[in-house]
Amino acid sequence: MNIAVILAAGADPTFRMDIPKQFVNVYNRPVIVYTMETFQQHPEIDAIMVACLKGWESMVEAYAKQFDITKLEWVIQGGGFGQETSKRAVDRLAEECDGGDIIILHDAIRPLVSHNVISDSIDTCKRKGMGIAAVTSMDNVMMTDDGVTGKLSISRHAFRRIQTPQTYFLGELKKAHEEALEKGIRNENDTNNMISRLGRNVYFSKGSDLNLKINTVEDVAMFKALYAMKNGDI
Amino acid sequence: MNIALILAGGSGSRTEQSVPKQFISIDEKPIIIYTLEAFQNHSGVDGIIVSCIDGWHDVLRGYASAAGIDKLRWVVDGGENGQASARNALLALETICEEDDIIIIHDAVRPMISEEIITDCIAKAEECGSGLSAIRCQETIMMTENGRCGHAGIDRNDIMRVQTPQAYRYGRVLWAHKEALKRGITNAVYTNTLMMELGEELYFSCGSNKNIKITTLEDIDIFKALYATKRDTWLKRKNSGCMDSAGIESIGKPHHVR
Repeated sequence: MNIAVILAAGADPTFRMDIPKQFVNVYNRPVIVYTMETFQQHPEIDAIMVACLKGWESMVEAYAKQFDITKLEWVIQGGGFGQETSKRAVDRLAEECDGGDIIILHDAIRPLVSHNVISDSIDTCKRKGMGIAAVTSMDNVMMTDDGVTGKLSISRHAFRRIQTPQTYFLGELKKAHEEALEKGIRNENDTNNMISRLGRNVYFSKGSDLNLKINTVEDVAMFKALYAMKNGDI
Repeated sequence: MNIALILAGGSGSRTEQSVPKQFISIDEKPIIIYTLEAFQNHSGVDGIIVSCIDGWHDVLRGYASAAGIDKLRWVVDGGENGQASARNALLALETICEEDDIIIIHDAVRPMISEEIITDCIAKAEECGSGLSAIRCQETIMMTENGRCGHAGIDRNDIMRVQTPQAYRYGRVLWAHKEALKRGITNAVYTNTLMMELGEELYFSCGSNKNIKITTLEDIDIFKALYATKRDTWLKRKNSGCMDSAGIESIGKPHHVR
């Protein structure tokens, strides 16, 4: 079974709005609905879980019904950090699912994820044990201590920018979470960082620059334009 | 004097089109013209030099003239990479520019460049000797040797993504390009990596997420969408150059959000 876990627990203060960005309305429905719809329509996805910011669960359930997200089976409360949210999702699923089941973690605020990117993440997981969506950067990167001056250049070919979806085998991810806690690895923002801190390789799948992460009001505008274009309105 | 140096030497192998990407037309206008218009319309820019792919010089002059880009004064041959293209243009300016003049180097395929970005880039170079437009990274990055798997993650708060424009004092950047050749450094895509190797101190100026580099067909879609939002009047812009519309500083000391 392939289970999509939509990560919607973030309350990012940089957005500086009263409504968390995953619930901001775009064309009269919350961003998370677009994300759920994509997984609803994907033939390889059997069930959906939403790991939600406390207090917003009813809204997620109501919109899911409104938009026929019939695959939505669980709405759980997420944690303060990405790692904790991921662990809560895994622990809950482990009660009902098999260790060999596949779990696809995805940010609620990446509503433009394509079917292709999801499929490649699942496929890479089946072949390599995990599939982490990643893209090559067109900008080069400089290390900085203060944000004012640069001290070291990193070639854009030497790294990848990590996105979601991130696909794992449920049993393996559960073990990784337990090992992380034993080793005192906590408070990681992303599951891939936790995995690499355990000393393991992280396997990349196909990401996309169109798989935009909505972090600012500017990004909302860009999402609207990309969505309109996808639907042939531009 | 402030001179914009536009890098247009690329052949566009990644887009897999016959037309080099900087000349691909979007809404009846080649990408490079959008870029040139930003510098044409900026009051702090006195002249423009373009390092252009062979065979397209007349095309460039034709389009520029039609679009009223009268600041375009020189078109020189592009090189095999960004470093060579920048060098060709810098050498061509030797009898024209003074040591203290500011050179603003910019990719032809970053047409979403804004007035604010150019202004801040020039201001930083005047103040500190260099201005590299840069943005904080929103995503985790992981180091990789083979592109198939990664190991070490780098905290996104420790890095800046460096784009163009990049502004420098003419004397210093010309020296750096000559010195790099002497030392056998020939494969820098951007001048900042070369300056860094030569031990120069580099300062960031404010960049933008929207200032994308068009290298694939997907990017053309993103550009179209961005260009459409630019015209969206409901998106109110703040006056401060370093704030985006969410009121978030696009540059400054990175901080943890949680």
